[in-house]
Amino acid sequence: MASLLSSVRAGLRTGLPAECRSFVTAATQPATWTHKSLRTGVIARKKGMTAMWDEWGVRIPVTVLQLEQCQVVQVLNEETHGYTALQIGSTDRTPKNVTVPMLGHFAKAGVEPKRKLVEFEVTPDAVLPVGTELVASHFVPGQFVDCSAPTMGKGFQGAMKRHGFGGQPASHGTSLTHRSLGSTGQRKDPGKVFKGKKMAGRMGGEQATVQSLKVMKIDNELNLIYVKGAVPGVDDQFVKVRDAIKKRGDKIAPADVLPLPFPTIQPEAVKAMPRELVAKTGGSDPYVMKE
Amino acid sequence: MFSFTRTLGARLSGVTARFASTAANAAKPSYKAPASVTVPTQFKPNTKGQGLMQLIAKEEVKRMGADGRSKLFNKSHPDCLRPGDVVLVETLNSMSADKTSTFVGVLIAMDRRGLHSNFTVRNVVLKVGVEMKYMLYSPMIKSVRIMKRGEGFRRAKLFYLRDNPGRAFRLEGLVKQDKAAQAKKAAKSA
Repeated sequence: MASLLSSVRAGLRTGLPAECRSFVTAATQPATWTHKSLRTGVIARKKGMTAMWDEWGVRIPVTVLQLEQCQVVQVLNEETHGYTALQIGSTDRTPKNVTVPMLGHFAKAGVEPKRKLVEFEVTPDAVLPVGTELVASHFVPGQFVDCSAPTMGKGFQGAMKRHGFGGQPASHGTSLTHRSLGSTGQRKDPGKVFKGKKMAGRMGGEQATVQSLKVMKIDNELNLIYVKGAVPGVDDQFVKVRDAIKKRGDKIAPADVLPLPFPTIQPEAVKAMPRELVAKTGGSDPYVMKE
Repeated sequence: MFSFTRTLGARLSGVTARFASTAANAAKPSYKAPASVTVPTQFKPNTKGQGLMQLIAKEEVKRMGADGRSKLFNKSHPDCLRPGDVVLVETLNSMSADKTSTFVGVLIAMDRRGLHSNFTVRNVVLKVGVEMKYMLYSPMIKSVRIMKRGEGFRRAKLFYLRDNPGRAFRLEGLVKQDKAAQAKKAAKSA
């Protein structure tokens, strides 16, 4: 058993070298985007927040998301799995810390073992081959994205913080119940407290999605996406980033950057780009009074 | 028992061969930024010895402080701002026009926060105390000029001037002097 494990780990350590990892090309025919197409998302790591100034001099808070060795690990198809999806893996991991079943799973794909695996449902025309690396330029500056991540844990919290309850008055006779729930139901009918009654309890640590965040900047060398606003969770958190579902068709990005790279950006296109690209806010100057 | 060591070389060579043929056929693509995208000043990232956020903050400071405004907050520079200095801040009203606004006052606070460094300037305008907070690296700030060096201020934050201003905000004479000096300079250069 020990020899099997060691041989498995030795075999995988000679796996996909770093230079070969990047940019396994896509399908033989270039896929064309239709309005029904749904391309894959990526897994990014929330690195922190900073600020930048746009072309009008307005200060914009941004969250920095970094893509770390984000690769396609498995393709799920209609025949075998009942739906079409891509399993994306992020952040390499030393094989010594990976279970043997998972080592086999990654070996089948020919990728380094990953820390995080996430599925993204796609349309069949947006399927990418196993091993394709997803980079920051999968998104374009100016487009809208949805970010999902577990929220920051807040511990055991009372109903006022957890559900926004009003509490009781601070004075005028209220005794010892300023922040409590108050009533939890009726009387003999129904004679019980309904299931799911909002009460105090553990708050945070659940998945939340922030929708329609604008991509303000792309960094091709460090694989960074700067999104406007805040993203749920703590720093170094894994964040699911995908195209905004509430911005269909032409609304997803400004007209001159459309169509979005489909199914993902071509390696030679990334090489031709400068390192950093910044989105303009557009519209009219907010500091000039409109007539 | 099946082997986990897969012949990735063969698999990859097939893929790269396909890649090579398409690359040879297609012209080398060049990138032209569309109208809604700007290409800022590019730097080469050096990740050694510092974390990612420190690196991008430093690069942004270099980019936004290209006109040398970092010296205003650099203690070892002779032109550094000090609390108590009387400063004249000229700000653009908007990025699309050249019109500026001017504010003169006493520098009562400086916050060193890297890219988010800011300073507060206080003056009494028509008997009303006014404080203006400026972000050092904002593109709307055109210039910051020291009109007079502060003397005798022994604090980093001069918030006590809100209650005990003394003669600190008698700045009309200074403004007049400065205006005359500026006019002379303009006449000389013309």
